[in-house]
Amino acid sequence: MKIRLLLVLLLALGLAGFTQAQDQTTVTVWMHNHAPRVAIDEELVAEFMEENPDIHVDYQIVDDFFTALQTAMASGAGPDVFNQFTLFNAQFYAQGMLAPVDPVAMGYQTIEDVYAHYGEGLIGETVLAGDTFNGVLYGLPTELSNYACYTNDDLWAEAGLDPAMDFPSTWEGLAEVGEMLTKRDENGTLAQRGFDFNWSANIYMMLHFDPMVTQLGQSMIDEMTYTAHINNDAVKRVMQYWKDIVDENRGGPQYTVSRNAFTAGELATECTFGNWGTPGMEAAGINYSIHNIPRWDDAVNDLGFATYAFYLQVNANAPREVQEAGWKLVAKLTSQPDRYLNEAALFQPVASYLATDEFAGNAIMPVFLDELVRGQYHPRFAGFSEVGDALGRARDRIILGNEDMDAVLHNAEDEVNAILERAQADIEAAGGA
Amino acid sequence: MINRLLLRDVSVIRRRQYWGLVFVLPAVLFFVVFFLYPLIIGFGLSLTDFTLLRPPVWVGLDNYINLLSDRLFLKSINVTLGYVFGSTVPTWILSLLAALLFYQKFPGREGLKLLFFSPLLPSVAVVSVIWVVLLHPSGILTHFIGPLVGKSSITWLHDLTLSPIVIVVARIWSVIPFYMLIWLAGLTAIPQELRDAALVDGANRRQSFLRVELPLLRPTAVFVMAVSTIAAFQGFTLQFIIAPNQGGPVDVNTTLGVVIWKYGFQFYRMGDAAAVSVVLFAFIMIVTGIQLKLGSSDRYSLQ
Amino acid sequence: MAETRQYESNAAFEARLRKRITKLILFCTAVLVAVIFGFPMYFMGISAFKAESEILATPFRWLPERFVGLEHYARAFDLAPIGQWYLNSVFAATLQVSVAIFVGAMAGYGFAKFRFRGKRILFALILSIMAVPFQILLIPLFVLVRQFGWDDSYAGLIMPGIISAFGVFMMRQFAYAIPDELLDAARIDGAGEFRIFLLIALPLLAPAAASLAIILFLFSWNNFLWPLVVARDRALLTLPVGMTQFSQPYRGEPIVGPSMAVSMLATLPVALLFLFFQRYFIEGMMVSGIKG
Repeated sequence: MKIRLLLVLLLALGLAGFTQAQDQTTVTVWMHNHAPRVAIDEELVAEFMEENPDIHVDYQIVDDFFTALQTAMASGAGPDVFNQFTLFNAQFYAQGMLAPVDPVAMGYQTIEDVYAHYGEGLIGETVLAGDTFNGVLYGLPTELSNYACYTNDDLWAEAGLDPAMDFPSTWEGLAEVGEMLTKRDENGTLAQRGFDFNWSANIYMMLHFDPMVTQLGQSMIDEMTYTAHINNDAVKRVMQYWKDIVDENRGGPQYTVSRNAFTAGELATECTFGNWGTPGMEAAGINYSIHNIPRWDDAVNDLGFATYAFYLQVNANAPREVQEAGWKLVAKLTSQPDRYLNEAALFQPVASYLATDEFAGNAIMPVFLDELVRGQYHPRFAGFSEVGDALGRARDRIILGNEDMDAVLHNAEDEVNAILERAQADIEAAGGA
Repeated sequence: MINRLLLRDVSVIRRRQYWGLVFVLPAVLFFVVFFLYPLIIGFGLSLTDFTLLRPPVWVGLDNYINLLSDRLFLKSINVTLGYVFGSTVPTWILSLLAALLFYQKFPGREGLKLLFFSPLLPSVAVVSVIWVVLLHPSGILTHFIGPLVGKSSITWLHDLTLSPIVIVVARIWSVIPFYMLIWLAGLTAIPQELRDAALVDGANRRQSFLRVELPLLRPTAVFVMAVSTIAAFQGFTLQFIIAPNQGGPVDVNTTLGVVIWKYGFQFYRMGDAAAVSVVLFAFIMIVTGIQLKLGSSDRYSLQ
Repeated sequence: MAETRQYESNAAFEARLRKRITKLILFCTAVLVAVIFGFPMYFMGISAFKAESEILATPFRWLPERFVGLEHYARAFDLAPIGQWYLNSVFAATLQVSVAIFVGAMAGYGFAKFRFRGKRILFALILSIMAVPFQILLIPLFVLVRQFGWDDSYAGLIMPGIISAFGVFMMRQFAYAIPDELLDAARIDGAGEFRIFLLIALPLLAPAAASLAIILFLFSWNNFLWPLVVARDRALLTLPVGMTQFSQPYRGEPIVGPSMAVSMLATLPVALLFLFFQRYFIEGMMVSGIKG
C-alpha cells in the first residue's frame, strides 16, 4: 500500500520515466562472478521472486567489477543491491553511498537482532565489523575470508615433527621449526622451504604484515584519522622477521609463490590460504592439517592475519521501496549458509549455523571461525592500493636492496601520509563525509 | 563550343573533388574522433585533477609541477633512459652482425634463418610468459650460466641490479631478428657492382664493407636507430608482466609506460597519468626530430 | 710442366680449403646463433608436453621424459575461458582487419586519385597519427570510451583500433599505381565514382591488401595495452591479456605447463601466417616497423 502511494507520488512529480505504472518494484543486483555461488544465488533469487510477486530482481554478473562498480556508483548509475569487497567499502561509506541495514525490512525487530543473528555480544560485532562504520551497520557478509596455517604433514613427518603436537604458537617458534623443515643442496640452494610468506602482491603488506604489527600493539595505518605510523619498533621487528627469511636463506620473493609451492609439495608450511585453499591441496594430493596463525611471544593483541569479505549492500540513492525490497533480498541471500559453504566453499558466519554439529565437524572451518572471532577486518581506507604499493616498495628496499631500515621506514611514512592525505581530500571533494 | 566543353570539365572536376572528400571522409572522421580529439583531451586532462570519482577539476600546471618532485616519476625517467640505452645500442650492433652473417652464403642458411626468426612470432605477452619460466632462480638460464659464476641459484628477477638487465636481454632477444631483417634489406639493396669495384681497386672484404657498404647503409641505420629508440621509450609489457609487482622490485623496472598505467588504472590518478603521457610524448618527439634531422627517408623505403 | 700443374692445383686446393673453412665457421656460428634465438620458442613448445615437475628441472631435457600429450592444453581450458578469449581475439582481429582494409583502401584511393580542398592537411593528420605512440592516447581514449558508455564492451575493445592510419598510408602508395586511364575510361562509360572504386580500384588494390592484412592482424592479435585497460570482464579479455592473468594464479595451482600450452595457442595463428605467407609477412613487418 505504502509502495503504491509512493509510486503515485513519484508519477505526480513527473520523476518516473516509465509510462505503464507497475505494481512491481525492480531491484537491480550486481555481483562479481564466482560460478558455484552464482548457481545458488540464481536459485534463491528465483525462489525470492516467487515468494514476493511484487518484486522483480534483475540479477547481473559484473566480472571483476571493482572499477565498474566504483565508476557506476560515482556517476549515479549504480545498481540497487551489490556485493562489495571490504577493502573498498570505506570509500563508498565516506561518499554516502551505503544505506544502513534495515532490520525491519529483513524481518528482524531491531538492529541488535541482526548482530545477534551473527553471534552473541562481541562475536556478532566482530563478525560484522567489516561493514560497520561509526557504529552503524551497512551490509551483511556473503563471502567471508580469513587465514590459517596449513602444514604439509608428510614433509613435517620426514623432519621428525608432528604438526598436531609441534606446530608453534609463536612466530619465534615458527622461525625455528621453519629452519628444521628447510632443505638445501650441497651448494646451499633451497630444495624445500619450511615456512615462507606470500610475497607475490603488495596488498599482502596490509593483509599479513600489518596484523603482525598489530599483534605488537601498533598499526601502520589509522583508518579513522588517515595517518600512517610506520617508523616504529613494532614495524621494525616484523620487518626484521621477514628479512631474516631471506637473509637466512629460508625463502623469499624470488621463489615460487608460496601457495603454488605448497600445492607442489615444495613448501612445508603456508599461512595465506583461506578455506578456499583446500580443494587445490586435495587435488594435488597434499596431506595437510590446519593450525592457527602464530602470535608473537609477547603479543599484546590476540589476532591472526586480516579478515576480508564481500558484503551485500544497498545503494543509499535508490528509492525507498527499492531499498526495502533490496534488504528483503539480502536477507534471502544470506539465509542458507550451509549451502554456500558446502557447494561454493563460501563462508557466511551465521550463528545458528556455526552452532550445528555439521559445522563443528568440518575439518577446517572451526579454525577459521576461531581466527575470525579474534581477528580484524583490514584494510578499510581509501587509497589502500597505493599505500600497499608504497609499503611493498619499502619492504623490498630493505630486504632485497639492503637499505637502512630506519631511513626507508621514515621515507615510507612520509610517502604513505601523502597518499592518505590525497585520498582523503579526494573523498571530501567527491562529496563525502 | 570550346567554352562549353571547358565549363563541363570544370563541373566534372568539381564533382570529382567532392568524391575525393567522400572517399577520405570516413577515415578522417574516425581519426578526428579517436585520435585528434583524445589527443586534445589528453593535454586538457593533464591540466586537471581527475580521479574517476568525480568530474575533472582544473588545476593548471599543478600536475607538472608535482611531477618534478614525484619520486616514482623521477625514478621512471632514469629507468626508461636506462632501458632505452641498454636495449637499443646492443640491438643495433648485434642485429647488424646477424645480418652480415646471414648475408653470406653457406649450407643450411635458409633453415637456420627460419630458426633465427622464431622470436618474430610470439607477442610480447607470450615472450614475457616464456621468460618468466626461463628465469626461475634455479631454472634453465641458471643451469647454463650459473656454473660460470659458481652459483646454483640466481635471483634474476628479484635482484635490483640483475632484474633490469635480464629484461633488456629478453627485449633484445625478441627484437633482433626484426632489425636484422631491416639491415638485410639494406645490404641487399646495395648494387653488387659497387662492391666489385671496391674489390677491383684492391680493397679487401673488410675495407670494402667499411668504405662502401657502411656509408650506403646510413638511411637504414637511421631508421633502425629511430624506430628502436621510439619503441624502447614506450617499454611497458615486459616490465609489466616479467618484473615482480608490475615494474618492481623497488621500481627498478618502472618505465614511464608503467607509471602511466599505475597512476591511471591502479591509483586512478588520471590527471597525473595524462601529464606523464605528455612528458613521454615530448621525449618521443625529440627522437623523431633528431631522426628527421639526420635525414632518413620517410619510413623505410622498400617499394 | 708437371711441377707448375702441381703448384697450381695446390693453390686451388688451398683456396678451396680456405673457402670451405670459412663456410664451416659461418655455418657453426649460424647454428649457434639460431639455437640461441630459437631456444625459448623450442622451450615453450616442448614444455607444453612435459610433466609439470619436469619443466623446470635441470639439466634441461630436450625431449620429455614423460610425454603428457594434450594434458596441459586440456587443463588450461579447464582453468580459464581460453576458448572465449581465443574467440574474442579472433573476432576483434577479423573485424579490425576487414574494416581497416576497406576504409583504408577508400581513403588511400581518395588521397591518391583526387584533388580536393584540405587534402594536404588531412593527409598530414594521417601521417602524424603514425608518429604518435599509442601510450599517449591511452588515458584520454579510455576517458572517451567511458563517455560513450563503451568501457567493458566489445565496442570499447574494438572501435578505437578499427581503422588504421598505417593502412590508409599504405593503400595510398599502392593506389598511385592505378592507371588514371582505366578510371577515366570507366567514367566515360558513365560509371559512378563509387562503382569505379568498388569494381576497378579495389580489385587492383587486392595484392597490397594481402600484406596489409597480415600486418594489421599482427597489430590486433598482439595488442596488449588497450585490451588490458578497457576489458575488465573476464569474458571480454583477449588472449594476450587473459594468458598473463592466468599465469599469476590465485589459488596455488601448478600452471607452468598450461601457461606454456596457452602461449603455444596464442602463437599458432602467427606461426601459420609466417609459414604460408613468409614473404608478405616479412615485407609487411618491415614496412610497418612493428615488432620494434
